[in-house]
Amino acid sequence: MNKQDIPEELKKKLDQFAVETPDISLKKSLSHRIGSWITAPVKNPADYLSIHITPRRMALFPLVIIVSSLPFAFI
Amino acid sequence: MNSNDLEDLFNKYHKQIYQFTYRYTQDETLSSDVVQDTFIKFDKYAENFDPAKSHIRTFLFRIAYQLTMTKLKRKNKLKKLLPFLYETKQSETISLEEKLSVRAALTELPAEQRSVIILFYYHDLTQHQIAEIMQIPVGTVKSRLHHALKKLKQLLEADDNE
Repeated sequence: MNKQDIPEELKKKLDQFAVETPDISLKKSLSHRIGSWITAPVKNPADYLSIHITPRRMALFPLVIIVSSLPFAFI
Repeated sequence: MNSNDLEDLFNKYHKQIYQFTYRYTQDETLSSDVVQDTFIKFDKYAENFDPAKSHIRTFLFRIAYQLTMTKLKRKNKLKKLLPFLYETKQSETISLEEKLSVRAALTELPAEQRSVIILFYYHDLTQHQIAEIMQIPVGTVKSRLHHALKKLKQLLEADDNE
């Protein structure tokens, strides 16, 4: 298969994905990498809590603590 | 290899490697890291390169491809362990305009098909060179390319109809 075999319509679409190359140095800078990692966007922790802690789970939380601490009462 | 030769090589190929990695991962930081690591690794293993067997460009792409796969695997493991450190999946936040783009269509392709189409279309590599980079038979490259083009066409046509 050659590039010419690709339909023109599809070629036009593929050409829309242009990539700008940022300034990259040959030397690896650890501080720059750590900086990039720290400043990289992260998920909002509040979103994480809202997904995983439902009202039902919150209601069950004290019960879980009581049940899990029961064995200590017999020590 | 002396530092001047390495720098010349870097100046000649770093853009291509960045563009390949960025189109594949759509992650700027990871792509820049892959570019730097590719040349560091090349410098370290330059004696393994045989100009009679392979072209320098193919050799560099092979290193970059392997590094990208390793970094993505590592990233996915960390994502599973510490999900709160990573942003929600890109597809969830993609706008309507973005949905119509080839960028979004490429992320819909299976990883192995995505790399083949990027190397073939954007980097003008032959099927033999792609096979060498990905360490797979030429027949597999042909079939992945065929399926990738078919799926891309479907995805982009479907978006046009929406």
